Amino acid sequence: MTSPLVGTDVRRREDGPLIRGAGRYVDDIKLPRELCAAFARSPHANARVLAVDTSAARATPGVVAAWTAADVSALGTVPVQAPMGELRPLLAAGAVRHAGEAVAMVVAHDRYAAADGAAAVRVAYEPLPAVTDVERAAAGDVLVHDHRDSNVVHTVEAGDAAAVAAAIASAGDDAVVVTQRMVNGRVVPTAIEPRGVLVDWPPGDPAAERVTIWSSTQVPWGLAGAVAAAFDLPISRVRAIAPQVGGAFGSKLNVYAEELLVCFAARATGRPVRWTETRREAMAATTHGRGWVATATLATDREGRILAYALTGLADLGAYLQSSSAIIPALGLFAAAGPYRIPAFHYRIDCVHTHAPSTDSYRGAGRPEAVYFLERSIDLVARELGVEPAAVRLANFWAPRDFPVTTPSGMAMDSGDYPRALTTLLDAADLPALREWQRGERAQGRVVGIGYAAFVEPGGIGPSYLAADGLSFAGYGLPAALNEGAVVRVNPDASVTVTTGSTSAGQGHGTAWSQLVADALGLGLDRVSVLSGDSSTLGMGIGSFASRSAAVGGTAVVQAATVVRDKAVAIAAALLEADPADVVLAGGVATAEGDPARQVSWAAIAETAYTPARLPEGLAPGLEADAWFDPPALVWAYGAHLAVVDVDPATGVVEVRRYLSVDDAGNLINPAIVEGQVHGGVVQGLGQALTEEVVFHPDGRLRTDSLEHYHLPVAANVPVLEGQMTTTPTGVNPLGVKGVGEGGAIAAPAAIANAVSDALAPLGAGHVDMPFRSPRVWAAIQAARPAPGR
Amino acid sequence: VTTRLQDADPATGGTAVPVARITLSVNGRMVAADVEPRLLLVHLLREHMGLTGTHVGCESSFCGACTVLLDGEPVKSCTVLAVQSHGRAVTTIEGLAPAAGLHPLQESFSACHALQCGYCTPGMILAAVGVLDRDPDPSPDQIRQGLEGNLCRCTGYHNIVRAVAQAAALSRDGA
Repeated sequence: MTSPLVGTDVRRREDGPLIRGAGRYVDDIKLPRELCAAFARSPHANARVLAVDTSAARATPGVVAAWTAADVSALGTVPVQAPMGELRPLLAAGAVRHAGEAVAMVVAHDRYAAADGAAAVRVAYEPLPAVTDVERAAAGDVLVHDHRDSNVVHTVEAGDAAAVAAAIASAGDDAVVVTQRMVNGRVVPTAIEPRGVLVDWPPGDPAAERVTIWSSTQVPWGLAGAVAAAFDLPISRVRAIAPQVGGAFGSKLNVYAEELLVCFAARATGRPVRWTETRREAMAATTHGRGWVATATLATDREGRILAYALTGLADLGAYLQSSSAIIPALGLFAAAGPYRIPAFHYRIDCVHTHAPSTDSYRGAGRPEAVYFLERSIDLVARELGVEPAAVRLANFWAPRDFPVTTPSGMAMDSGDYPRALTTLLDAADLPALREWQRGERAQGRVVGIGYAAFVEPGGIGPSYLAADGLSFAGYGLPAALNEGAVVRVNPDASVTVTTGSTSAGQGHGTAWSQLVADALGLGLDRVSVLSGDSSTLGMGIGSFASRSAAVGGTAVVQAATVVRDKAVAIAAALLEADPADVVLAGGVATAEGDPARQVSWAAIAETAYTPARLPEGLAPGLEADAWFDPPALVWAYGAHLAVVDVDPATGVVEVRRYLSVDDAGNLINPAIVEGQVHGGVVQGLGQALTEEVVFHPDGRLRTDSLEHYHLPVAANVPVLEGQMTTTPTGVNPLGVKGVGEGGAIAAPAAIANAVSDALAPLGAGHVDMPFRSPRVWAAIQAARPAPGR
Repeated sequence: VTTRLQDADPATGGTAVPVARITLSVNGRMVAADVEPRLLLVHLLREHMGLTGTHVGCESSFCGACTVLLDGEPVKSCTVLAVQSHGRAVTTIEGLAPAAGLHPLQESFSACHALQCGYCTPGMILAAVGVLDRDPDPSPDQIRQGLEGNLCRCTGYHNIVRAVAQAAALSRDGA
């Protein structure tokens, strides 16, 4: 009997080509006779477009063609899942509404000539005042779309505002109430690989035309559907391929204007056309994340028991909707009550257009925002109560015996042990010793803080009924579904081909799915190949987002493999003349239980499966099955993270001295990959907390338009990550797995903000908004009044 | 052996611009090329030589995905003109180890799960070569300082630092 691969640190099968530089990202794929596209983009955040003149662009050496909005109007607008706001034209027509909006497309013989051509496009603009601040936009002084009477276009609301007010009123003097306005600012997901697309659309008989699109996307099936719809083609003639994708984090969970436009250019020129985004373009034309300003009110009794919580805020959509822009606050609602009992709850987020790039999914998508506001509020109320913040959390967690739980935001949670996560974390950190150390540091005038946060990470989206809320990809022409599919096929040589709807952008599905299938079929990892990211290989694939791949796509893989195994066992039983119930498949052979001498190899089983004359009666040829898993509910990963920070009071520089995490993602398929997901998420959250911030000039131009001005975490500013896992399996799927991709990004901003707040508390500083860049922290220190008695 | 590179595929119709003749060594092979003066080294490698393991992430030297060794020193090839490499030796990820083998850093990056999407990996490995060339026994802090010019968005750097330390230890033990 071989030991299972699931649950072990199998080394990633993806790595071999990647460490040799033999990966194949979109820009690495070359086609004969290809042309390169470039875009002329608006420097203004708000302007009338009086005229667009492409004559100089067309006359530029190497340029083949140039197009403006009128040329592409038949393609419509950028598709979205739920039109709860204004849609983006593929090229700006008559007006531009954010800096970086595309106005014209140029194609040329190479990328240098294309850039020359784009620079030669002459646009007459009439600049107008712009509003990039979400609160000013909500006030409506400047309208982003002047046919509307407000920039507020959609509201996500749940709970009962009157119940919150009544709970606070009835508690009277027994209530401790904190109300705080907080900013969870706009950030740029910033995959290191910018977007890119390559389209091959050979000219020929229109009735037989086929288009192949390679794109750095998380949603190849969505892209195929959107292209089929835009160009009125059957999906059978559209093939979208996500080759190796160099990071995504939600920013490639979209069909973008450029993908449709490059298809248009390839069809128009009869030649393959490529577009590779520059970083400067990426900062403005790829979706941003977060961008919420909200006021949280948390009320407890004198013992710290929560009476009521209300969150009222604004979410910045940017100028136009992308795929799910206006749906992000609905995802935030899933997590908005955290792991806590909250007797009275209200949540209201207004979605607001601004003269800014579109926002959409970014690692966590609404959940980091919602958790941040709640976890900051808990620390603020703990300060009012004069207690260690853990006491407030422990007083309000759902207990393990409470499950299943219906959250205050109306979601069903099946499992969890929140007190254990927090106490495991605080034990690992040795909180009493840390507080003692902090007292010593403070006595010597140093400014140090300890902060932590607890969170839930609702993921594993479906179930499909959530599609009614706009969470599916129906806007791309896919069915309103949130399941995932897989095909497992044992080939005649007993190699195995696994086809999955999950699309990796570096998460290592190829390795994890191989582990699942090798265990299910009792053969070696090296026998298994995983195909993903190719819309031609499955009728539908939903994709990888919202911590769903293992829970939904991985379950489908195992279900398909189980059907295949059962058929293989039936064949083996016939070959062995044994009862199928007595056949064990392991180590590449089928054995009759109790008689190890009676064996038949997987190779013989596979060959038999495809040889009708040898097949047992009643079995059809072939050894292949598909499965589609639609989860009955979300899965609820959770955890608690802790940060220790140093603040230099003279400069305001914040340094994260230690970072500890406890995460519970249920059963783990590959613990090393899971740890890697936690690391990556934590450091993206750390970036949001410390340095990342989209900043606009007063006229609306993007100030953070490059990596020179937009500061991502670097190795030197990141601490050692001291992580551990607890294991509380879920019953929502047969693997017992939850999601893990987003927890780090959910927890880290709150933990670090609580640590900075703790550090500054003795100086008398109140709430300080992220990111904790030194000028802001220094100013907060200067503005603080020394606490009484200090 | 000197391989002569064409500036542009005649089928695509090259543009009539001045060109400069350069010769350089790429992964140990002498190469001559006629290039536009504005051509970046990274595009010479990727577009003209098919060495697509060197990636472009920011065109401004901030992300390090395009890091190669120029005369043994890590440089950001997105901000080096191809003509500046004339007479010099370039090593890309494809040339770091013999075809059949792996450099200790390549091995340790895989062993330590120091890559996820892999896009930053070639540049990160070549930057790490520079770190270990300067000090074969760096402290974790020195590794972190040494990799400050290379951005990774997936790993949080944690396993990258482990991988570089492991490669350093393996190289010392093996030496």
